[in-house]
Amino acid sequence: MTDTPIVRADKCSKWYGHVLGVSDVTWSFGGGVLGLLGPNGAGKSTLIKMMAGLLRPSRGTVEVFGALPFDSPEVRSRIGYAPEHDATWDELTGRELVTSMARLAGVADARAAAQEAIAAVGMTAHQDRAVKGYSKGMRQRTKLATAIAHDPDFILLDEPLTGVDPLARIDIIERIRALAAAGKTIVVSSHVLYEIEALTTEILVIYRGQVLAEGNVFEIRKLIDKHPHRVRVECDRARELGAVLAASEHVARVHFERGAIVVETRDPDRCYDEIAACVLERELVVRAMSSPDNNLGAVFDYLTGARS
Amino acid sequence: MSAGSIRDLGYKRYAGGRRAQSTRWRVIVRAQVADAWKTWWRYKMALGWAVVIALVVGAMMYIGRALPLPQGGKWGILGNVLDGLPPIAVPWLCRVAFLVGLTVAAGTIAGDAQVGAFTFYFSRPVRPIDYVAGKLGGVFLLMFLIIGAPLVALTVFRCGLADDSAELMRCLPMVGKALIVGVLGAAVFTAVPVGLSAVVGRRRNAIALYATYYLVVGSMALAIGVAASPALKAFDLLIAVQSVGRHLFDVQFLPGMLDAAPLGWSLASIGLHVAAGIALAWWQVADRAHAGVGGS
Repeated sequence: MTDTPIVRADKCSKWYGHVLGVSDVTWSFGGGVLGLLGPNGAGKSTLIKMMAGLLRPSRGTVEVFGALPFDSPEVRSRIGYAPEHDATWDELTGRELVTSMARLAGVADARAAAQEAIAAVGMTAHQDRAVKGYSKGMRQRTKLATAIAHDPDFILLDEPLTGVDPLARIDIIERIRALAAAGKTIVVSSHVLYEIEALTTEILVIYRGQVLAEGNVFEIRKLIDKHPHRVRVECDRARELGAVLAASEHVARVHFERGAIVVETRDPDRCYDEIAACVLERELVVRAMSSPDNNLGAVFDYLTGARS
Repeated sequence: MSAGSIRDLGYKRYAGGRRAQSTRWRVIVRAQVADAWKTWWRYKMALGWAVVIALVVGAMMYIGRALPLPQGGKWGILGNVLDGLPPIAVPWLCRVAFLVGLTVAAGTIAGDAQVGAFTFYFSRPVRPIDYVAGKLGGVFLLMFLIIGAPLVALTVFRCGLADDSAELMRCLPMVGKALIVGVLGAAVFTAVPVGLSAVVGRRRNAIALYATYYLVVGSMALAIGVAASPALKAFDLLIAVQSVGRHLFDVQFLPGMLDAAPLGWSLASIGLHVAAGIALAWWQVADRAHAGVGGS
């Protein structure tokens, strides 16, 4: 995070009548790629729409580039937004749709900009077909093209991978990474954890309208003291390693699987040091070592499980 | 051997210019016209009818000039037949404009609401005023081509039929009058359907609402106007525009022909309808934008 955040939400809440969208969100984001995580109905789309300037917070503020996007067309010209829903001008061709969106965003040479954007999402071969004939993956790519055609600095992608096949998913993830590599700040929402995991380690977990956690997923994992960190080691003399580790005070539990030992520790760094020392000292043959719960899925389960 | 190179086929930043905020409404005008032009039945067919109407009236003018009795009761018109024929086209052109209202104008905002297009518009640097101005401007342009352009063409043709420069000078103001009628007709046949389009969230309902308003309210106003007060006839959109045309062109009809509504009432009705349509469109769109587009 930098000192001058691109997004800053301050005690931001949004209600739809009596239904709560987001509640008292205070958060900032300085740049890079952020995964906005949460189950369906958690408030992800509401938060994204407030950042895109489509919704005004009921209370508090959401600032992008230091201004309120809802009130500022100048700020919105620096934002690229791909909504979750597919409904749009289906009779237009992909090229016409992207060109129109670029024109609306103020691009003078909209055709050339649209062409670049379409090429960047791999839709050049299909650009002259009507959008109504597109597959879900092609629609998602076209939405991505509409979001980037005007060369925004800040890109908001609401569930960009929903409904796409695995090959298209990999391709879209690669293209989002390419945008990040080009210096864009990107917020990607999803309720599918491994999609986010493939994109970034920076996350904002939102649940029932509230921010549950933010920051690096591994740092967040470390903060969850309630759940010991699991380390799984596959080695030739697992019980010998287990006997050594069980004596350590940071180890909460040791159990064995076939040809492997699983250690639950409250101090992962120290645990890794001790495992390394033991392996060297006793000349154990280690086949594999992993941390089964040091991933986004486990973090998400811990966080939301603790609240439910 | 030539030196090797790896080409970057990834994302490239846009390095071109940016248009000013004040140009956004023109982008929407352009999109509106392009959208109407896409299918033959939405606009092209109606434009064809308007051309046919203009050709028929033009042919009548040409024939009327060739006949030995330019003055008198030909086609129910008192006075100079050639001068009286252009406004005869007005009600027919207005009927075509009504059809364009159904196929294009009535669905313009409702259609966007139906497919969730507000999300695309207002996440871009587009303000409600840009959107409303663009929608109204686009439909106005289409309507002017239906009502105004044929009328202007007919009056220019009338000038071309002048026998001498004195007659030409006498006819020239007709072009300006045709322009006024065309602008007023296009404005009222734009504002009413677009305004009603903003009230409902589905294209089909907006079309039904406009058709109901135009036919039912128009018929009632006409019926009451004929029976009681001629002024009320002006609340029929077609009669209002037609009446302005007749008054401006100073066309007198034989007894028994439908009388025009008073000019003041016709102008007031057109002004009221245009103001109400624009206000309705603005109020509805700004209200949505104020509350936030939301939803999906």
